[in-house]
Amino acid sequence: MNNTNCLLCLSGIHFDIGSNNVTLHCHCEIPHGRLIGVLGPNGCGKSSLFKALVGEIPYSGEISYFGKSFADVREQVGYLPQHIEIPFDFPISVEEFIAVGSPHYFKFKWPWQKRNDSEKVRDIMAKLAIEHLARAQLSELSGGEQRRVYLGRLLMQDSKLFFLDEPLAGVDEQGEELIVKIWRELVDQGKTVLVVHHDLETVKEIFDEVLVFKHNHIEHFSVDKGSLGSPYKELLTA
Amino acid sequence: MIEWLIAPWIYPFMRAAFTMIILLGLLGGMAGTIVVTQRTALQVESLAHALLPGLILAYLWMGRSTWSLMLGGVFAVILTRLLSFAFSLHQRTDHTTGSAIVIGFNFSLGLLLLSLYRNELPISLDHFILGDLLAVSATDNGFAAIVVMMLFILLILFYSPVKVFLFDASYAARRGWPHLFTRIVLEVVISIATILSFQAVGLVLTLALMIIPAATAQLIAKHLWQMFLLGGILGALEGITGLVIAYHMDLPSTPPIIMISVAVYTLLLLQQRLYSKI
Repeated sequence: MNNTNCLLCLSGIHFDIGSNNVTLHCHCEIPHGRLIGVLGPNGCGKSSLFKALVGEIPYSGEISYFGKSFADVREQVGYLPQHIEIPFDFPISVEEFIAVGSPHYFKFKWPWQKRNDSEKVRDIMAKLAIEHLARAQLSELSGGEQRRVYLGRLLMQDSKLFFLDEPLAGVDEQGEELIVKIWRELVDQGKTVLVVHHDLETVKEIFDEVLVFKHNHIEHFSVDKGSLGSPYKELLTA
Repeated sequence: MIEWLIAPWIYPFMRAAFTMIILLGLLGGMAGTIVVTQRTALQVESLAHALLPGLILAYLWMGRSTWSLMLGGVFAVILTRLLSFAFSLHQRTDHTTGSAIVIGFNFSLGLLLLSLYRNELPISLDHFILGDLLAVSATDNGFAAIVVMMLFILLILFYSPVKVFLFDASYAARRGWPHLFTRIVLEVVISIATILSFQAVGLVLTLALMIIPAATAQLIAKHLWQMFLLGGILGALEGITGLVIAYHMDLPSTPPIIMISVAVYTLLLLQQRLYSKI
């Protein structure tokens, strides 16, 4: 399994979550430039797979990125965890938080050297309709606003691949439309977005493809080829 | 009023104490910001308690000096880390409970050593509990000044990644920032700040001296650099005021400092509560 045309290839992934050992039987070849829904019941390993991919939990199995080791590109992946575990009383403004996503942010600079990311930060805040919150503290934001700000930090990263774990949780309808539009823009730029999603009613209108987790298997379906009348629903409910 | 403020400064031992409390204030503001934002106050408390057996062993071996202080500190860090690691192996003992157990063990071990070697030690339990700010030497102040300067330079050079590490360490690690190395450097900084504070203000008030100014600064700071700076300035000012009061009222040096710090924190908190209701 070393397909150099395939953005992400997964084969036989195994990881430990606490005292549970989970083996996911899969052979998925995920192409680039697609918006992919990740579906499955609670506890089936969706979030754990994302955590394993970004290096937060150890795993065994094959994961390659354009035929190369995924570990080499891990730092460039945009990852939104399901539970945002940052202290929201930390003194940091929204624009400062988004700027952290910049690719140069962790490179050494002398104190008198400026980072020149402010224009990009402003563009991203405009895109997410949060310009008015630029000076606000994270602690002053609602849950939905925090999700948008977090997405803003990911957009600063210039990643080619995004793993978003339930990014629409707590987001209102208007915010949901805006966020889905941004995902679509990323995909149009050739980027790939994988999203853990639970609302089966909206799967078809949002995603190009889906990965369905069921009984330790991952099935990969394309939505737009019409192969998905509703087999993924059957897989989920069977 | 000016005379009242200046009076204590005429004595060399008071000037040394003022220098130390200003340096500890600055150091506490910076190290305290790390502790407050990381929510590791209990770990600092367990380290301070581990200094009791650590210093007793170092004093017995090397006598009373800056080096024995450092050696005692190293012993305390190793003891605390080993115990915390042992407890963290079992997932059912949470972080807070583990720290509380370590605090109890460290203090008991210290008391045990103190009663066993009472006659051979150059200092008493009071010294460990309350410190001795008026006994600091020029060497102690020089060492504290070097630590404050080094920490200040480190924070200026690595402010951005340290900021991200403090509020989202796993994100910093995902972006390739050396997670373990940063954690070790920050632990060393906090350990040195704890050791220096311990010597001056004693076991019980070390944590208070470090975290109250930083917690006060957090109430008003909008950016992390403001918290570092304000925490340091507040720590130094509260230290000077407390020491002046202690001098004039003939009180132990540390309690007035802590009382003033708590008063400033409480007033600011009340002001914010009232302001938010208007």
